Amino acid sequence: MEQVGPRAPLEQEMMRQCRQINLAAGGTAKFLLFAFNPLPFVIRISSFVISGRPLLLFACVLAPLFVSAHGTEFIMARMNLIEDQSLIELRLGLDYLGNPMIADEAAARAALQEALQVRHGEKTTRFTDLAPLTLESSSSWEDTMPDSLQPPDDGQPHQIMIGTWRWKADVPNISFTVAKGNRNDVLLWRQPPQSDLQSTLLLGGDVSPVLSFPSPSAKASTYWPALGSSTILCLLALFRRRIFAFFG
Amino acid sequence: MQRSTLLLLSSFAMIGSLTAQVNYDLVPDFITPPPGKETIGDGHGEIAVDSAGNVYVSVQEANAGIQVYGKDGKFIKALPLPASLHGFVIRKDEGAEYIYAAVLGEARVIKCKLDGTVVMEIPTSAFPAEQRDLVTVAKATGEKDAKGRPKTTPIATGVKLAETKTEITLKLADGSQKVIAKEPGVSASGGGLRLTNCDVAPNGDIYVVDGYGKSWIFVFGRDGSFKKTFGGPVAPYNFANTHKIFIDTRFEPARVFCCDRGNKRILHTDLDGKMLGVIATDLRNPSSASFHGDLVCIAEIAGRVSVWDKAGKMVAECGTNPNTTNTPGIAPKDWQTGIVTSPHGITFDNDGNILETEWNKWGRVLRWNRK
Repeated sequence: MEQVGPRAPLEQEMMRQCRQINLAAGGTAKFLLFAFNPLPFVIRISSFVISGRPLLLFACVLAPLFVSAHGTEFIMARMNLIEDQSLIELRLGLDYLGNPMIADEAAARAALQEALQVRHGEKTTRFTDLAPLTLESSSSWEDTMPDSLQPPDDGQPHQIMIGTWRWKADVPNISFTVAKGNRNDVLLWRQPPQSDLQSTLLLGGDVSPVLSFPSPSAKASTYWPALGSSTILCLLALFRRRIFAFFG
Repeated sequence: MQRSTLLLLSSFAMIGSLTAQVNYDLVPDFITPPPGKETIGDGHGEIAVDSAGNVYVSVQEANAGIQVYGKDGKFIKALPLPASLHGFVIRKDEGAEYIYAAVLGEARVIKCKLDGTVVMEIPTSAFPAEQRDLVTVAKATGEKDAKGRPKTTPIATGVKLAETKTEITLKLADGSQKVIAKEPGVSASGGGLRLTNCDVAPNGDIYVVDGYGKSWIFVFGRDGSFKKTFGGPVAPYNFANTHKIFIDTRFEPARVFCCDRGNKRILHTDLDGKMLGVIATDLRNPSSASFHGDLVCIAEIAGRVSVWDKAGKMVAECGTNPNTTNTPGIAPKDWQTGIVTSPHGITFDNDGNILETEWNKWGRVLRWNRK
C-alpha cells in the first residue's frame, strides 16, 4: 500500500510505542541512563538559580555556528537579568534577508512576536502578552548573537529584526518554551560574567531549563516572622532582666 | 464495536508493528581518519556508498572535497573536488557510476566520475533568472557594527534586470520595475541560489534544490538543459529550508522525497512537482535521507537518526541525543559513543547498514549495522 498523508490515530499510537521500544536500538542504551534521570541539579549564579537535568542544562555551543549561511534560520535570543536581577531582558534577533525560513520584514516581525512562551506557575503565556516587544531593524546582529557565532562575510545580504522584551517574573520559577508547531527554532543564550557561553536550542514543543528567582513574597514571608521573633526574644530578655533586677 | 474486539484488533496491530521493526547495532569508531589527522575534517556535507561498498564523505577542504574510505572504514584517498559539496549522491547513468553534487558555495551542480573527474556541469547561468538573480539593494548608513562591518539599510529586493554605472533596475515581487539610483554606498548583493542537494530520476533528469535559498526545486535534463521549476515558499508547497531532496525509487513511478527541514516534515511530490502528501511531521529538522529496500533512513539535524518504512511508519531510531542539537561546535572531547550531535548526511550501504555524517567542524561519521 502506498500510503501518504496524515496518519490515523491508531497508527500514531503504534508509532509512539515503536519509539519507546526502539530507543535502545543502535547503541542508544546509555542514553537512557541520563535522559530520564529525574534528579535535577542546580547551578547558582549570583542570586538567581538555573536548574535543569544533567546534560539538558544550557549545552555549550562555542564554535562558529555559521557555515555557508547555514544557521541563519534560528531566532537568536539573548537573556540578561537587569535592574538588580529583578527583570528578565530578552534581546531577540532574526535575519530576514539571508534566511530560508523568513520571507520578508513582515514575516520577521510576526515570527518574533510568536517566538516564545513563558511557563509561569500553572500558566503558559505568549511572552508578548506579558510585556511588549519593541522591534527595530538593523543590518547587524548587535548583541543578539554571541561574538563567537558571528557569521563570516559571505557576500550574502543580511538584515536583522531586533526585538527587546523586559518582564518582571510573577512567580519564583519560570521557563521559556517554543509553542508546539512553531517552526522557528530559538537559540536561547546568556553570557554570565567570567563564565562560558550558555545556550539551549528550542524547537517547537521544547522547554528551557527552569529559571528560579528569589521570590519577593518568599522574602517577605521570612523577613517579617524573623523580625517578629527577634523582637519577642529581645523583649523577653529585657523582661527577664527586669524581673531578675526586681527580685535581686 | 465491543471493547474486546477493539482490544483484539489493537493487539494484532501491535504485533504487526512489532514484527515490522528493524534493529541496529552501533559500530564504534568505524572511520579511520586520513593519515596525520585525528578526525576527518570540517563536515557540512553528505555521505554515500558506491556499488563496491566504498564510502564517500564530503568535507569542507579545498580541492579535496570528498574523502573515500573502504568498506572497512579505512581511508583510501581524497578526490580533487570543491570544498562545499553540501549534498551529493552516487547514481548509475548508462551503466557507469557518477557523483552528482550540489556545490553550495559556487551555485552550480557537477557530475563526476568516481575518481573525481568532472564530466558535466550545470553552471549558475543555466538556472532561471527569476531565482538566480534575486538580489537586495542596500545603502550603507555610514555606521559600523561591532565587527567593523558597514551597516546598511535595505532599499528593495527583486530580480536584477540590469545594472549600469548609474542605476540598478529590479523586478519586484508584484511584477513592477524599480529603478534605483546608484548613489554612493548603494549596492546590490546576494544571489538567489544556495544549492544544497541534487538527485537523478530514472529517466536521467536531475533535480536540484536551493535549500538555503527559497527552496525552489529545479529540473534539468540529463544533458544539463533546464526544464522546469517547482516548489518554493509558495502554495501548495510552502517550503521552508527544504534542505535536501531525493528521488524515491521505492515507488513506481518514482517520487520526489523532500526533507522540508524548516517545517520539520517529510513530503512527497511526483516527478512533475504535483504534491502527493506529507509523510511525517514533527521531526527533529530532517536534513537528509537514503533508501534501501522499503526503508528510508533520515538524518535529523536536531539530534536523531530515524528509520521509516514505505507506509510512513517509523520502525527504529538510532543515536538519539537527549539535547536538542543543531550546531557544528561539539568538540570530539564531548562526543558520546553512539549519540549523534547534528546529523547532516546519511546513507544506507549495500547491506542496509546506516552511515551518518554530521554538521561538525571536526568531522564525524557514525555507523550502525542492521541486526
